[in-house]
Formats: sequence, structure tokens, C-alpha cells
Amino acid sequence: MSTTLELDDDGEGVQKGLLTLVLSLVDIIDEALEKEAVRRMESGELTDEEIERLGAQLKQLSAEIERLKQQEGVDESVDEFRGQLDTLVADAITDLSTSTERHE
Amino acid sequence: MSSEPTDPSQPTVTDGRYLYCIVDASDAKVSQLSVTGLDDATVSLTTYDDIAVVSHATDQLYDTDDIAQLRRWLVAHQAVIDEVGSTFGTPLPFQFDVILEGGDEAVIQWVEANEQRIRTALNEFRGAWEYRVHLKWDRSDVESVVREEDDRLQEISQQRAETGEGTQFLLDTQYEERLTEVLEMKKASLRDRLTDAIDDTARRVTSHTAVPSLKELDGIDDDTEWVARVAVLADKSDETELGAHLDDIAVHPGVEIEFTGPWPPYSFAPDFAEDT
Repeated sequence: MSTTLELDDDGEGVQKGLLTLVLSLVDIIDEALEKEAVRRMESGELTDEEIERLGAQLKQLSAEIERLKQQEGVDESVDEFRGQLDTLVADAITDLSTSTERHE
Repeated sequence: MSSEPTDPSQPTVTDGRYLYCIVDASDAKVSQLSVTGLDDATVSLTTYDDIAVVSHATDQLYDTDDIAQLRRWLVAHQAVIDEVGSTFGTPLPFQFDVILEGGDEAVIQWVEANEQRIRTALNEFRGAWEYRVHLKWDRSDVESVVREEDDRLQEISQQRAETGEGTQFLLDTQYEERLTEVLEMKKASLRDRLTDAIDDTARRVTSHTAVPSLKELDGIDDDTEWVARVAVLADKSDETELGAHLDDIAVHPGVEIEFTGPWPPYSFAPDFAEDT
């Protein structure tokens, strides 16, 4: 399994490929932030007001990322690229656990 | 043995024998087979003592970019092995496109050189067949049940109704995480139940990858997910019992089990082509 992005095309192709890459990374960071926010909410570290504020900010961020993806016409290519990355990571984990089992 | 890509219209093999499988011919009363092979080739038996190799004569390799042609060859390859299996008992199959050069003489020499290994495998697999068990579920059906049954998900839904937009956003994320976690636990539990169900009757079990072949993906909707795909080596006399145990798992809502076989032991038999 490999991941591919159009970065060696003409100017437009490079721009779209680069945007896909950047927005995919922002998407991943956004997802990690949301997970961390949920963890903090569950731990009881935050007051109700802090939870509401944090949630509202993350909701806004998420909406803005979606808007950018649509505006630049890369929403499908971001989904595709993230799907490829997920498969790549899943394969790497499987390989790692298989080689760990073999060495045990 | 040869597997180099080539132009199929050009003869590339000298007095080749395309190999289908090996069988124990000691009890068999037939020396001819009614089935034809790839491209309707005449299939014959080459025997060495009580070991028979099923093959057809060829001067070409079976290499093509045409998927429909490849599929026809694969079906013909399997049809020969199935027919041989029903006549002689469990066959030891060769992979597709294994060809030995040098005519029947070369086949006999090859059997002679590998006799011990072949006899061990024939003894090991006598009376045993491969059964495939594909456990899959309709994600939306299972999700509906989980949403109803899981206390934590109910709790989050209730909380959501009493909070502001920002908190709702985080609760939605929390809900999705919990849903994924419960579905994974359900999958693991089904896999454990599957292992228990086949343990009594299976001689051997092997897991196949979670990604099915293109053929199996044909006509599958987006909500269908594979939970487990295993091959079971079992005695034919245990087939009914094995199927009955699997029925107990299929009663879960949204869960479906495909139980097919008996097949030749494709997933278990040694790969004779590997080191020849």
C-alpha cells in the first residue's frame, strides 16, 4: 500500500496536491485536539464553562477546515489521502505486531 | 518449473506438463478423468506407485493481462481439482500455472525426488477438507442494537440534551469514540465465539486477511464489514456439526456467516511448487 499526491504536475496540480497535504495534516491535528479535549472533559479537570468554551472553539475550527476543503475543491482528495494513510498505518501496526510475536 | 511472463501465442515450454494436483490413487478404480482442463485441454494421470499427478500437456505458459481470461483459467483449474477430489479423495493442489518441462518422465522424476514429502502430506490430509467461514456484519444494523443497549451511549445522549452547543460538540466526539470502542469489543467477542465454535471439530485453523478478494467485494454494500475470515481443516464427517455450531453465532442481529466447502485444502497443503 502506498500513498500518492499530485506534486509533480503543472502549477495547478502542485497547488492542489500541496493543499490536500496541508489540509490533511490540519485535519489530523484537529482530530487529535478533539480527542484530547474529550479526555480532559472525562478527567474532570475542566469546569462546565471551560468545556463549553473549548467545545465551541473546536467546533468552529472543524467547520472552518471543512469550509476551506470545500472552497479549494480538495474535500474528496483529503478523504482519499487520509484513507490511504489510515491503511498505511494499519498495515504498519499489523507488520509490527507480527514481527513482535515472531520474536517472542 | 517456470512462471516467467511471456506472449501466450508463442510456444515457450518444451514438452510441458501443467500440474493440477497430487492424489493417492491406491483405492481408485479409474485411470481417466471426465473433466477437461484449461482451454478444454485433456487431463491425464501420471502415476508413480500409488501416487498420481494430474496434469495436461502444454507448450505455453498461462500468463495474461486479460482478467476475464485469467478468471476462466482459474475456474477451470479449480474444476479439475474438485473433480479429482470427488473421485480420489482429498487432493494436494498445485497453485495456478505451475508447469514442469520434460513430459511424463520429468513428472515421475519429480515425484520420486519428493516422494517422502508427498506421502507425508497425503497421509496428513486424507479425509480432511477445507471449509471457509466468513463472518461479516451489517454495520448499521449492529450499530442500532448497540445504540439501544449500551448504557454509556444512552448516558451521553441524555447529557447532550441538557448542554450548550460547545459541550454538545465534545459529547458527539465522545459518543462516536464510545460507539467505535463497543463495536470493536463486539467484533472481538464474535471472533472468540467463532474460535470456540470451530475448536471441537477443526484439525487446523488459519486466519485469512481481513481484505477480501475483488470477487467477494462484488455486490457488497458499504455497510458490510468483515469481522473474521478463517479457513478450517476438518473431517468431512464433522461438517454438519461444524455448521450447527456456526448457526449459533449467526443468530446475532445483523451478523451473517458464510460457510462454504468442502474445498481441497488450499490454505493448508504444502506448496510443492515453492522448492522445485
